[in-house]
Amino acid sequence: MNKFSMAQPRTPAEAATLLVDKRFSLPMLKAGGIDVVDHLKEGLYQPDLLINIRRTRAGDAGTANVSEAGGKLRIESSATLADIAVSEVALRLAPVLAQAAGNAASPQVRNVATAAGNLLQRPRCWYYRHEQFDCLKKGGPTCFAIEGENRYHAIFGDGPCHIVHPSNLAPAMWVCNGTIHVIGGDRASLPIADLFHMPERGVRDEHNLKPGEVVTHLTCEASPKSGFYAVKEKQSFDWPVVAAFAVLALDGPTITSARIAAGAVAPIPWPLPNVAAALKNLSLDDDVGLRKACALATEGAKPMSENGYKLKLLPVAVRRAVLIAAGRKMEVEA
Amino acid sequence: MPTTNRPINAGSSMNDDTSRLDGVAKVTGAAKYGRDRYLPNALYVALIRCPFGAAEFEGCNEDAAKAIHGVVDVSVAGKECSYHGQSIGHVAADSPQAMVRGISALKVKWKRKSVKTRISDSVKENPAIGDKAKSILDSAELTHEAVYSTPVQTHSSLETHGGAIDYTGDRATIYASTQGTSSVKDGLSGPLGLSQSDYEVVCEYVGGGFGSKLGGPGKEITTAAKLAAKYKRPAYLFCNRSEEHLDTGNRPSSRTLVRVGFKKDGTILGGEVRVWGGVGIAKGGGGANIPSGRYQLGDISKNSEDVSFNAGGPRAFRAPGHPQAAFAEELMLDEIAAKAGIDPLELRKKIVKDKIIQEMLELGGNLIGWKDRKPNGSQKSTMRTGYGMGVTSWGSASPGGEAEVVINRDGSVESRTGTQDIGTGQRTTMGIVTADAIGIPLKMVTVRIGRSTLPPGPGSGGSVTSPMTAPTMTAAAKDAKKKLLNLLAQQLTLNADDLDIKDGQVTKAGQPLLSWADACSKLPNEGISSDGGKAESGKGGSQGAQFVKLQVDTETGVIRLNHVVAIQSCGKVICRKTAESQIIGGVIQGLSYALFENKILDRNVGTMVNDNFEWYKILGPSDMPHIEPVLWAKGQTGIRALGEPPTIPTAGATACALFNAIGHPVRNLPLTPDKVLLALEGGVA
Amino acid sequence: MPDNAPPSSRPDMSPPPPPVQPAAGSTCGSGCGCTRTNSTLVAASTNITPEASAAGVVSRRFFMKTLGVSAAATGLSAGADARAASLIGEERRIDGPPIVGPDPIDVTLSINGKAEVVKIEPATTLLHTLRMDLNLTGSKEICDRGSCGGCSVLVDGKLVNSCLMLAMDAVGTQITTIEGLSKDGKLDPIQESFIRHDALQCGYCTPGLVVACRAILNDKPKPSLDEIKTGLGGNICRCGTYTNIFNAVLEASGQSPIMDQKGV
Repeated sequence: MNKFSMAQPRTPAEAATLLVDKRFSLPMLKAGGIDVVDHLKEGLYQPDLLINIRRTRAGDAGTANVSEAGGKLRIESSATLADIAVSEVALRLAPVLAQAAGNAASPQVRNVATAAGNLLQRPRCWYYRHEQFDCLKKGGPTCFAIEGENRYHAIFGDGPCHIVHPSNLAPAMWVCNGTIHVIGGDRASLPIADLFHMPERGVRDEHNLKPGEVVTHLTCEASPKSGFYAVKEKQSFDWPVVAAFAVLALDGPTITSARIAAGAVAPIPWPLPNVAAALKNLSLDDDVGLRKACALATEGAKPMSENGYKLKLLPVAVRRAVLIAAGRKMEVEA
Repeated sequence: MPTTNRPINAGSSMNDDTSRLDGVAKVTGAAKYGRDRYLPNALYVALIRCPFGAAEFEGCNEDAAKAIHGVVDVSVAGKECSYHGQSIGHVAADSPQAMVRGISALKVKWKRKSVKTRISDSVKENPAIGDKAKSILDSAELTHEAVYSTPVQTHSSLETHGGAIDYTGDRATIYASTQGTSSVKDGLSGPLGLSQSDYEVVCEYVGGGFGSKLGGPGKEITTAAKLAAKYKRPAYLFCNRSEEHLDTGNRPSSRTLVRVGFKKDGTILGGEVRVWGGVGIAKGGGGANIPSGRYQLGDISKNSEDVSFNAGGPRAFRAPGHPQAAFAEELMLDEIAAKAGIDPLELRKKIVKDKIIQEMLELGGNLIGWKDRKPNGSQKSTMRTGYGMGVTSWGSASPGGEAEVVINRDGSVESRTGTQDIGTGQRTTMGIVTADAIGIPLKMVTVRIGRSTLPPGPGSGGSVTSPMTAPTMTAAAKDAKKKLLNLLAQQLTLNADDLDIKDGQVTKAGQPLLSWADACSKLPNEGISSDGGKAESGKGGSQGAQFVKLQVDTETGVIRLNHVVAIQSCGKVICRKTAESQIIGGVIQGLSYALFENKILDRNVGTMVNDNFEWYKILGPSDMPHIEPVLWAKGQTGIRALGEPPTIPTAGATACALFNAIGHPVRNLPLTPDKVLLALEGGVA
Repeated sequence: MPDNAPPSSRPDMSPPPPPVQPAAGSTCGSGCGCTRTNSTLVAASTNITPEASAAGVVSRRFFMKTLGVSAAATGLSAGADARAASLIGEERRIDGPPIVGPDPIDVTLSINGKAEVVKIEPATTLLHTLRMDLNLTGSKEICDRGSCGGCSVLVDGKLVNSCLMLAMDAVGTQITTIEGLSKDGKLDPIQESFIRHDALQCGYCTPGLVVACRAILNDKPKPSLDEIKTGLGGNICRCGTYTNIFNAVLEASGQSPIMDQKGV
């Protein structure tokens, strides 16, 4: 790691001020540090100031890290994945979020990684993470995945960069109509749908926060009928190869509406409105109909040379997320 | 204290209940490994490595590196490199941070060149069948032709390669991470500029090796030694995780083409096997042991060839040449059984050569529940269950190495040998055979191992350690006992032949005569030591059979391991617990090889893109089946091999179980979901 | 060797700009009128003199008050809010939050119940500090990227990879390492159970696994096998000891280990 100074802001507002402090050429936020420290060790980031927001909180001392506020789920930006995974409030109001948080990474990482950090983490693409590859995302001329090893890369999108967004929380927030609350800019919040952009709109970063903006907390709608399903090669610490997120409104066994999204398949959390539309008015007992609806998940996919298998997995993950959201038993364990 | 959860192994060993002697040191974190030795005033050294599979060195900024505060020595011998990780020099500094910053400041410029990264870059098609094999196949009722492939597997020792050298100018202690304490000593005289009597190699604990830490100090310890000598101060060089994957050897990849002819009753007539070993930049070392000789396969001609590409070369890795071969051989046999309409276990019983393995097959089939195995591909449910199996064997070794037993006047006993304990339990087995040979409780024995100043012992490789050192130590202990009894007989005017030692008591004609303490108090000041005696040669090899039960999620291709039964003979078992652990450990490595491990090189640039533990996937706790190690003690004599045989058949058995579950073979390790899904559609993976 | 980037070398890319250094003689920018450059903003001594106060350095009492810690605190208080009472010798700005580094400063860490003063730079991980400054080499450096759990410690009772935690973040927390699990030579029940079930081979992963098992048992006194497997999902053992580890945890929690078959 290069040498850097470290600031201990007491509030998110102080953190925001430090982010645009002109005395430093590269001030950078560090929450749990799981992703930032990895970058520092790989020589990918060489900040001169780390702004330590590991324990910085927006809410008052009486507000828990994960709480209910006005019927919505409220999550401090520095709430850990573990906080979310075991929170009675999260499990009740938005199980998809709790499941997604609890399935991410490992116990050690979940105890440290924060909600905002999880949303804003950089991709795991091995070309990005190796400093010797001057790839597009680092300002270079090439995406090495196109002709190279792309088994874990995106099956949606036209490029020019083919990363998958690695966050488990982001698609979960999307299906719960989540909102990101910020300070330091000229807005108080933005919907999760506006947080990320596709690479054609800019490849050097994945999110749309403005310089100096700091996430204070997240909120999302109560989505009690929601579920998450990830396919992983390894059941111990491993990244999903595809993940699916579902929020349902049910009338008995009939799906009256749905919000469906996928993770690990695109450079942003990938909404699946076509699947959601096809699920409308379907009965959960209509196995054939469900499979047909979920098969639409791969519409428009543009697989790369090594990742066509994800097209087979995605409809399966979507269908299982729907069943989990509905509280249905599956033939396989989740 | 006994653990009673493995009743099948009760009474199977010389010592069923002893726990590993270094357990306390390891579970408390007190055990010091080479990598833990941060010596005062040490130089921290790292090698400068090429980041691509092939590249021309175009220059670097040595001055910038030297200007980093704390950097002491920078040496760059820029050259054309031909694998990711190839070293072109080193940086040495006062602290690890300065060392890393020094390397970063070099900003080496490279011009990438084209690369080959796998066997298939050079082997594009199957050669024509040989005449002899052709005639066998032409006249056979049934034939089978297939290509089986395995990836490069890295040892992934958790403690990386390297050493910490405590250098004082006229003496040195080298804390090495090695499987060969003696071989490290042998290689360092020149680099240290010291005579071999002026330094000692210490390896009391080592964090894994699996074959990669044999054969001398290696470039890591040698580089540190040279710098220690140059600057007359301690030096420390340990690989980081990336380097460990890149440049410390590996199990070579393999491509095995089989063409066999056989009869409907399962008799295999013969054919041919062609093996290609993927050896990186090496010129050899890729051999695979197929046919293994464990089965009657008729008249098989064999041809092997090594294929080079831009990657680090291979090193011996736990049963070198065997797991990749067993994968091909066992899956081939299951496919042959399927074509002949025979149960694959029945086929093994028919063609396996070793009688002991025959008996193991019977036991293993019962323990795994083979009777519940469904015909290949007959299940329609989403989750499908499969059963598979494989066999193993290993040769013998003669006693060797040196050992010494010291009985002190205060009754304490030392068991001394230079051989290291790489996790096998060597420390414990030395203690057990010593205590057993003398006739005293184990707690009275102190075992000293892992130093080059002790009687030299073999490297921990080839599964020879116990077969070599246990008889030698037993002989030394028996000799020490004999000397003690002779001395007592003389002093007490008794017949030495009437005397014995049992449970720490000296007996005469079977009756208690003296306590151990009293007996030892009669020793001269210097006690008794012995390094002699004729070590008994154990004859015969080891055998094993493994059975795997798993489930496949046929919608996702994900395999869930369910149950493994691993039966293993190894002669007379010295310590039940450590022997069971060797079996379990070998099985886990085999399962990990079967399902996950793969050194992935970018096909255009040659960089290993998964040079970490994030993407180089090793089996973890959540992936575990239940593993039952079964110690086959029936009729076993002598101390025989144990370390390697249990890791040989596991991947093959797993692939066979998958074939049974889905009815289509996946002939390409690792058995990842994408390949399983492709096979389910009838594709060839 | 903690904190390594892989020692490959950067190809020809424009380097990031170096940290801003105010020209000699210019102010440090905090408005206090001093002429220190970025690198000298760390106070040389641990004593904050009245002169230093007047020159624009926030007094220790103010600093600790604003961070919610009493002036008498010694830096060892438990609880989530206790922190920088242990940060001594650093520079603070009147108009902003405390900034330390990049050069080493003295901090006090609470390790296994003991206050340890170490001189570290911000760019240091807790793992590095434990191993190199405190000779607590039980926590191992294995992957240095949080993938294998070999460096696991407990931070305020929570299982954490110390290789991804900056040492500064340990200030104000209670750190328990493997060395802290046994007290006065008496082994923790999980350690005894590990030995009894031979849940170790080379031993290199063992400290991280023992700490992870202790974390599971602290959270779930009678964990199921699935809960054990999930709780250990962040740990890797290359020798292959998991089977016996599961049995060790089951037994340490007063449950029966998995019974193997008797044979036929």
